[in-house]
Amino acid sequence: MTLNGFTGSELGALSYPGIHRVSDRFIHHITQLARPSLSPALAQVIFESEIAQRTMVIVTTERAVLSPFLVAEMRRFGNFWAYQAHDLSFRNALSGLPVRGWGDLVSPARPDEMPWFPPAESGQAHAAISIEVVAHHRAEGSLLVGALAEAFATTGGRANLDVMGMREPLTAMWSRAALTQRVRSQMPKAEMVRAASPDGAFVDLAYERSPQGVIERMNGRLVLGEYGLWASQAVNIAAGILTHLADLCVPVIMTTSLIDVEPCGGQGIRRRHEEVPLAWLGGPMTVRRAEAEVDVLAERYAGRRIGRRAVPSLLVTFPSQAGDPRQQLQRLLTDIELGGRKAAAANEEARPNGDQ
Amino acid sequence: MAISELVILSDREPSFDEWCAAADSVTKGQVVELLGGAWHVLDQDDRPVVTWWASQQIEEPRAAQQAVGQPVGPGQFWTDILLPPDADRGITIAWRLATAIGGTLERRV
Repeated sequence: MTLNGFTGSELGALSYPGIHRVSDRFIHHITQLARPSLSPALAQVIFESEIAQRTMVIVTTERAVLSPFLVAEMRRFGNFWAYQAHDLSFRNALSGLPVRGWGDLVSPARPDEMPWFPPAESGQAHAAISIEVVAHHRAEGSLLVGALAEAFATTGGRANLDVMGMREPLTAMWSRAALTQRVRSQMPKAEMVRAASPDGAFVDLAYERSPQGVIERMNGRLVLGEYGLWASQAVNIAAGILTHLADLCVPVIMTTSLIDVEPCGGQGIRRRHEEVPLAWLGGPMTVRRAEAEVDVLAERYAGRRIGRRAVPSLLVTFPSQAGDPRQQLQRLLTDIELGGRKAAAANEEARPNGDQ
Repeated sequence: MAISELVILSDREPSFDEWCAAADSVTKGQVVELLGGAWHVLDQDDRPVVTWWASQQIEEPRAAQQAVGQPVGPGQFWTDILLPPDADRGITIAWRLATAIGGTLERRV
C-alpha cells in the first residue's frame, strides 16, 4: 500500500463510498440505517458536498429516525432528506410530497400532489423545546464555558449533560473544564462541539472571540415528554429557561419554539405538528440597537423586563390564547427591525454631508 | 444499494501499519488520506474498498452503546469504517484487522 493525500472530490466523487450518486446539483447518500447520525462518514459526505458545491440528499428507508445532531447539521447546510416508501417511490421526508425527479426537492409542489407519510404509532409524537442562543461573555481568565448548556439540559430537574464530542457517537465525558480548554486552544474561532444528556437534551456549541469578549452560539433541543401532555406547558417552561439563561451571560438574542420529535429526540418520517414560537428574549444590545424602549415594547407585547436595571433585556412569550404565536413573533420582530432601521436612518440624516 | 457503516471496538487502537497489513492481505492498491481525517483504500483499479477514521477512546459509553445497540465499555477504542456498496473485500479487511487486535466488528444501527 502507498499513501497519498486527496479530498474525496479530487478522487472523483464516486470513489468516496459515502457518495452514491452525483448530479449537477446534488450529491446523494443512501443509507439503510435505522438511526442515521452525524457519524464521521456522514459528516464527510456533507463536507464533500460543500467542496463540490452541491447539496447533499440523504435517502433513507421510511422507518429511519435522524439524530438531532444530524438534523441540525443538515439544516445548517441546507441539505435534503428523501425516503423510499414501501411502494419503492421516493418522497420528500419533510413534506411527504413525491419526488419524481430530484429537482422536485427544490420546486414548488404541483397542485395535484398530495403529501403522504407512513402511519405513526400512538404516543410517538413528543414535545421538545428548540432553542437558539447568541450570548456574550467577558473574556476573563476565570471564564468556564458550558454553563448555558448545563442550565438548559437540567431544566425541571433533568439530568445534566454527560457526553460531548465533535461527531457521533459522542464519547468524551462532559466537562466544562475540558470544553473550555478545547475552545481556548482553538480561538479566535472554535470548531463546534456537541453535547447530550441521558434525559433528552442535545446542544451544539460554537465560540468565537469578539473585540469585547467571547460570543457563544448554542442551538439545542430538550425533549419534554408526550406531545399531548406537554405542549400546553411549553410556553411557561421556555420563559423559565430564558430567564435562567439570561442570568448566566449577557444575552444578545434567544429564541425558543415548540417542536414535535420522536421520543429519542430525533426526527422520524411522519406527519408532525408545526413548529410554534414559544418565547423570545432580546438582550440589552438588541433592544438598544433598535432604539426601542424596553418598557414600551414590554407593554405592547405583554412582555417583561428582566436583568439588570441599567441594561435590561426584554422577554416576550407567545401564548396561543393571545392569537397565532407565529404572527405574534412576526409583529415583534418587525417592530424591532423597523425601530433599528429608523434609528439607522436618523443617524444617517444627522451626519454632516462630508461624512457620506 | 446501501452503504454500510461498521465499527471496530477494541481494547487498543489499531495502527496505520496494521490497517495496511490487513488491506494488503486482500488487495494491492493504495491508501489515500482524505481531507477531514479519513483513510481510504483503493484497489489497483482505483475502486474503493474500505474507508476508516482515526480511533477514539471512549470515556463515557452511553451514546456509543446506543449507536451499536449493545454494551460498550469505557476505555475501549471506537474505529469508524465505511464500506462501498460492493462491500465484501472491505468487510474482510475490517474483520481481519479486528481479529488481529483482539477487537470485534459491529454494525451501526
